[in-house]
Amino acid sequence: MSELKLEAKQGIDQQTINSVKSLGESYKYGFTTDIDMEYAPKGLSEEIVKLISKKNDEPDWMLNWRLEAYKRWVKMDEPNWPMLNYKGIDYNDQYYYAKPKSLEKKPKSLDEVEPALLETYAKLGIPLKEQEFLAGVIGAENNMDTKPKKVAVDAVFDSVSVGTTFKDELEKLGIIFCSISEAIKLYPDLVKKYIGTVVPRTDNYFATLNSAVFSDGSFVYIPEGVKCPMELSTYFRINAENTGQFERTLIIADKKSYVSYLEGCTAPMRDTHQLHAAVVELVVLDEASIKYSTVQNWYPGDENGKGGIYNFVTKRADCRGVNSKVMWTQIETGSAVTWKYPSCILRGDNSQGEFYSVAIANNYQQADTGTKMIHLGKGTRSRIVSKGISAGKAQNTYRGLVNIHPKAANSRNFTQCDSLLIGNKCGAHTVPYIENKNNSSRTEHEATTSKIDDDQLFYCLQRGINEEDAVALIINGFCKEVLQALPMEFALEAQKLVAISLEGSVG
Amino acid sequence: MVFENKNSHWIDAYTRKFEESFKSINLLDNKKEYWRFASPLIWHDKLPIKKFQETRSSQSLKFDVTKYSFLRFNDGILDTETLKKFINENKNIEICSFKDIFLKKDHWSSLKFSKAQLKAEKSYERPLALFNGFNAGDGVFIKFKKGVKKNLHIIYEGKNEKNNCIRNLFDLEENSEIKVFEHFYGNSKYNIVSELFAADNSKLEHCKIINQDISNSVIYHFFGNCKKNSKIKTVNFSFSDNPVRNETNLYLEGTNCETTVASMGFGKKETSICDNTVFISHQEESCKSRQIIKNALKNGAKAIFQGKIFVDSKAQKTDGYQMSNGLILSDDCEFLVKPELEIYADDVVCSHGSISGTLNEDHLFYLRSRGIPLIEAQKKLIQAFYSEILDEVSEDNIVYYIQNQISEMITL
Repeated sequence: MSELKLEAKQGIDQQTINSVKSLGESYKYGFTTDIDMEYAPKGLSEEIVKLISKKNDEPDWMLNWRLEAYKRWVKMDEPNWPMLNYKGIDYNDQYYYAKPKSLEKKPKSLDEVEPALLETYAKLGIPLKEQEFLAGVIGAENNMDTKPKKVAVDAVFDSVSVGTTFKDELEKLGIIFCSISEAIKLYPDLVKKYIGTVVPRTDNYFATLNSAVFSDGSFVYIPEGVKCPMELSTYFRINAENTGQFERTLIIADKKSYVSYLEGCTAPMRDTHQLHAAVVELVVLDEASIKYSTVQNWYPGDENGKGGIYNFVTKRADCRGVNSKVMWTQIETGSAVTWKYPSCILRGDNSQGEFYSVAIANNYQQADTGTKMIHLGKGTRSRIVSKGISAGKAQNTYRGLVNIHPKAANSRNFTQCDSLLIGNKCGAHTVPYIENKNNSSRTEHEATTSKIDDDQLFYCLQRGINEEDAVALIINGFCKEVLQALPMEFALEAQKLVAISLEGSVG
Repeated sequence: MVFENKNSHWIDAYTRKFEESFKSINLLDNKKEYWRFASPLIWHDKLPIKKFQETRSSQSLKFDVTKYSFLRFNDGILDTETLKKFINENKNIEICSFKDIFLKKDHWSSLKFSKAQLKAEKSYERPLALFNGFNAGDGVFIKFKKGVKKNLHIIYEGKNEKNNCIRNLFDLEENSEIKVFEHFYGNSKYNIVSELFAADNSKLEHCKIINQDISNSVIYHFFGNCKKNSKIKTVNFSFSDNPVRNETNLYLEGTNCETTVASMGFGKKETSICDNTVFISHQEESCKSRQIIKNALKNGAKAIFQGKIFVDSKAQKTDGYQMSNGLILSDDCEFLVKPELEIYADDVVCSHGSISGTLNEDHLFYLRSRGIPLIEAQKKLIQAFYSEILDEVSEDNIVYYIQNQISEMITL
């Protein structure tokens, strides 16, 4: 029943559901789309940075901003502290800009759209009307149906945003939802005021790289007092070979506003590793609230560890206002290597940060992920729930920081990080840092590591559930707390994704 | 070289190795994870050694002489009188001072010496243990033969203004049951390395008390290799107003080992740093390890806990537990912890917890509403906070001694 309902509501989930049904399929987004692409030359240099800026038609201040980041990046060293073991990345053997050629001029109807591009969206399960729009069909915006349950989508294909839906409706409320390249042109003041203020250009190796070469991403501004009526969603896809994707997302929630933002990622199966280094900045002002959900399903590589995405992401929220709130929810099932620590800077008094995460690593995947909660304001609260699952030969690390500043009186933190191991060739590691620097605050941390409980498994088997289903059931129970924190649309997809990711890892 | 022995001795090779390794480490490199919370220079040479001054004499710890044998270090040198007495009383124990080993061509310890330390160095370089390796002035090497039961009390007392490097080695043969109590008095600065080799079925209860009148820093490395069915317990009490670092590294190399590392610290001055760095490596099946760390902090004191449970892929059925609690009694204190798990086996139960905060208001209210004055109520709650550590100590007079020390300190 629920599946049917879901189909009517959201096309995005349908393909997931189908593919769960077809056994044996391990990565359903692994198709490649053969589209004529326009590339910038391989490699990274000042010229490439200038070229990207020029392609996006950027003003001078943006170019200078990028160039300064590039100059800084050249002098930096790649971090070696994570528990990740991967072959060095050749930064000069990558394309830093790729764009489907068909986007150069706008088609008039779906018939004129390059079929391959259309097929890609169909495969990804994006509804036809939205497809029309994403393919850039003129007038498609007016054809969008206005059913009560809506998700506005911004799709980023390789380096460029290919379209944003529901723009008009959002504009009526004063909400800005567009690609960042557009925002730089249309709302330079807003971008200038906030970009790089949460994640500075100099923050870390990958964030600096991103600052220099980011080609697109999403920009969201929610004006004062507005509760965004629909989920905003960005869809990222790396398609072209040897292409790095560097998107930059900036979300600003003005006073007393609310937004729920979804992010999904996929990539085709390639034998070579592809680089993804994104930056996400969230600015939360007084009494505003942002809910940021990610289902990261980049191609994880095959069973032998060949190929897959290197995913190095810097995500940070700055709770500047009093009573502001941020909630990060992430389901990490993809990528060969994940390096990601969505963080909250709780600057405003009584601000609140939450982090819910499920990280699944199978085969040769490696994940080093966690969060940072930096308590600066008085009465700030944070909650961390992290569930790590390792199977096959994977390594999964939770790395987190809770720092309560001397002035952050009456703050509280609760952390729970649990790990589950399936098989004896994988590893699960927990590296929390807890720093409490005043006497009115309280931190609590608990973590456990264990395997799937024999009694639970026995109970399921005894009731006629086969082993694979039983394990999926138990794992869903293990992740329940996190899955419940996801918006409806994602929760079901995530649940299936969890099952797919662990397929074949039992027995 | 510390020793004026012209003939080359088997220890010399180690000494050279330690010195070379030490020199290759940059102690000023503040990016090292191992020194994330406190620089090694605190225990090395950064703080000038304070001059001896007569401080209030804490009550001394009384032991039943019929049950305990004594050894005493004066200014970092093993007292020969106590050593002679020990040798006369204990025929089934082989004992030798570290200094005297240089006079002997062959010694049983040559097969064991620094083996435990070098194993631990593989995971992290420990510069101050290396420093000890080529600067140790004395120490005690003891071999407890099969089935021996012994209680040993070691007192470190010093008035000198030097960095006293001491190196001990405890070799427990099969089925031996040993209790070692180490007690630090006086004013000297200490850098101590103790190595432990626990054979099958051996049992050790190790307890260390660093008194509050110690006026310089103490760093104590405890490296242990534990074999089948051995039971090792090490309990540390630190009341010093100066930096104390307890490093405990235990390798569980036999099945069914059980280890407990418990540590309690009371910091009441800004200069007080209580650092517990614990590394437990599970190498074989069905071993159990527990770490319990409790720190109470006042007036800007700082407590650090870096703990790690490592579980090798062979070490199935491991049971690991790690608990660190910080009781922060005034505003400017810091409780910094990093409880780590690194697990490569699937059939394990490992957990850790960490809680920090101040005294529970409700608990205080409960006691006060029953007519107990605030300071008494606080005292009771602080004692309750520590009770889990005291439960680990089997010797009653040590428990009383610690309880007295705590109540004395709370009123200070």
